[in-house]
Amino acid sequence: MKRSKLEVIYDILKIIRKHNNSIKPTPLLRYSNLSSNSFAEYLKDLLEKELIKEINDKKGRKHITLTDKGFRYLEKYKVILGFIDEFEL
Amino acid sequence: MPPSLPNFLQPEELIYTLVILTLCLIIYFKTKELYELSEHEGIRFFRYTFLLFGLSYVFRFVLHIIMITFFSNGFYLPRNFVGPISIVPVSYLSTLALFFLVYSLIWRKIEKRKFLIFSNSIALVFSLVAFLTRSNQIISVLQVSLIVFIIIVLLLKKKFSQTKLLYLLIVIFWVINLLLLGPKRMLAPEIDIFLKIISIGLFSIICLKVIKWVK
Repeated sequence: MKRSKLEVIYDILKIIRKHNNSIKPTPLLRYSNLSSNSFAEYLKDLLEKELIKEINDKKGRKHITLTDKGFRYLEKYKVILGFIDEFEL
Repeated sequence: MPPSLPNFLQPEELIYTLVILTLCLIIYFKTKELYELSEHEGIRFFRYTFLLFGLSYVFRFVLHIIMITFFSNGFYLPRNFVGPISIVPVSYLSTLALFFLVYSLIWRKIEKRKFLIFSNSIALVFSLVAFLTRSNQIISVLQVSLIVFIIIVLLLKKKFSQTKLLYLLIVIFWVINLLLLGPKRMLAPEIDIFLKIISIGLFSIICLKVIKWVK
């Protein structure tokens, strides 16, 4: 069954959190079960929404971490789903 | 003797409007975080619906005061004055509220841009009719056609739930509220108060449901 957009975002954020809030893009792509194109779109979307941010380590390698808003999304995910269901949105 | 409000200020109408506005604003602001986190179109238009309903009730009150003043004192109110500050905003905002409620339920099936053009166009047409006729009854009749549209949309979704019934009652009571504006010579005060209590009850149920989720 196709995952909803909210669910995909939740899964991506959850993977980042599970990896001590720091993961490189390639393993994140692998764990997220998305095509490269979809993953790139989601990554761009999440950066724009400021749910995640990119940081470079000392060796210049890119890592992805959650922002406070990203953590809040994870906290509120079930509430968001419940709300949408309750009001049939 | 303590000073009392002049009759034309209609304290019960003022209280009624303030209660509905407060409930609508609570719904709007309490759902802010859920929307900011999810950017879900359904939540966005659900919030807009109640913001627009709140504003519609405020302008409805202004229109009511103008009509009461007109009928009580026989003032002539020129169209250029009445239109922009009361009946045009009432018509425009409430028509959009009805459309946005529908859109919040079926946003996945309709392209947003087309919907916004369509809904704003209809709201503008209704506002123009309101401006030309200065008649809340005509706007009510026009909005009844939207209610028929809403009923069809609600029936098209598989099950007819309690929430959908609430939505339907809110829009029906809005139209009744608009229809009964003015001196209400044909309506007993008890019925008027009863209708207001039901309206407040409906908005309160939605508000409590929202608070239950976002507390």
